[in-house]
Amino acid sequence: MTHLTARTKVPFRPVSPSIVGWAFLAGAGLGVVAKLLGRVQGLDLLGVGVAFWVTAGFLLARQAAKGHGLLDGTVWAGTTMAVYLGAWLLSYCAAFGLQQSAGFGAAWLDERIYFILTAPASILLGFLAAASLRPDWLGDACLAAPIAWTVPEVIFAFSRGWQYVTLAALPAALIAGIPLAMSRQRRVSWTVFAAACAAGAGVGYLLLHVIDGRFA
Amino acid sequence: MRRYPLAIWAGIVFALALSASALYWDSSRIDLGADASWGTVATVNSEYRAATEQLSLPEGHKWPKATPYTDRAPDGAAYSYAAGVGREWAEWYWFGAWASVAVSSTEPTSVRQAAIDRLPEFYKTTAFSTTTEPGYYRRIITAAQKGDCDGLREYVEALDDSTGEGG
Repeated sequence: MTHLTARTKVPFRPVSPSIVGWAFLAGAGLGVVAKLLGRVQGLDLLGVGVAFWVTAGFLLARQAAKGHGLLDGTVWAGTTMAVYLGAWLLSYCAAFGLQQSAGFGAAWLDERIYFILTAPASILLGFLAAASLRPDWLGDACLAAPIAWTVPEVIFAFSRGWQYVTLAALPAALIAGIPLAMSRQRRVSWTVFAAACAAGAGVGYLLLHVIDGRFA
Repeated sequence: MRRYPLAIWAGIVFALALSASALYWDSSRIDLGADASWGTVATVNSEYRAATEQLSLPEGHKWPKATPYTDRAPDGAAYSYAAGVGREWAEWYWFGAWASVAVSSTEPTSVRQAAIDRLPEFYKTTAFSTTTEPGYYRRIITAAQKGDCDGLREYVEALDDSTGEGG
């Protein structure tokens, strides 16, 4: 009889390359949804936020990385993430231009920093997604990534009131916990996990303020 | 060399192309045109930065990093800005800077006169064309050109340094 031990590697079958196509479709659809949510009071914080949408792509990226080693997994996950983010941004800008009659050019300039960051950020996010599948301390630390980048937005939601906590922070927090919930087959080092959450949240908080300042 | 499916290579090219395009197509290469009617503060600041590349300030003056506009009101309501707001803010700042040099008590006469000679360029700006008091600005500029800087000095003293905005 076999049973899973704390550090047993769980074998996965690699996914089809079609996941890249699904990432494009998901990104395109969610980008439009995000722009529409930006017009709804209470949900606007979710719509203009970053964490929820990045985490959704992260979940796809984790799927793409399954069945591969760390390097190959990073390539698969990073590419999936990049396609998702790129499609998300393009559809968000298109919706922005249509909704505000501003034209794609104005939307492009508005979101330009995110387009610039798509490729380099996807490399990092791809690594985090691939590494989060590992049953070791690195995997435990990378599992904390979605929670870490969600914490600053959750804190901000509290400053806006309970409506925003319920409608924006809660969905973002729930989706950020999915990778951890999916890892219940292995034992996670909570010390490593908590430390990574705290460190990542601090970095995420600083980055959001820098990016939000649009180089200002 | 590791072999990846075509979808992966296509995805990599897609991401790199997006990032490279964003680096290339900045505010100086994109004409927002007359149809771009509303935008966020990032759009305003893009216009502002493009305008600062075309306008020159007096020596010793520097452009602020960005306009003072924000995306949201204190109550959380989102702001939208009409096209041209960023450019106009730059033009008002430009006018305020040259006006302050024109009435400065520490600058030599030649420098002050050179600043006064620059002021009529303000008539060609979008800011002047949209102000509700064009007559007031014509009066103080014309008077300064004739040697009477009292009106211009009053303007500079009343100027809000935090916004550099007139009009």
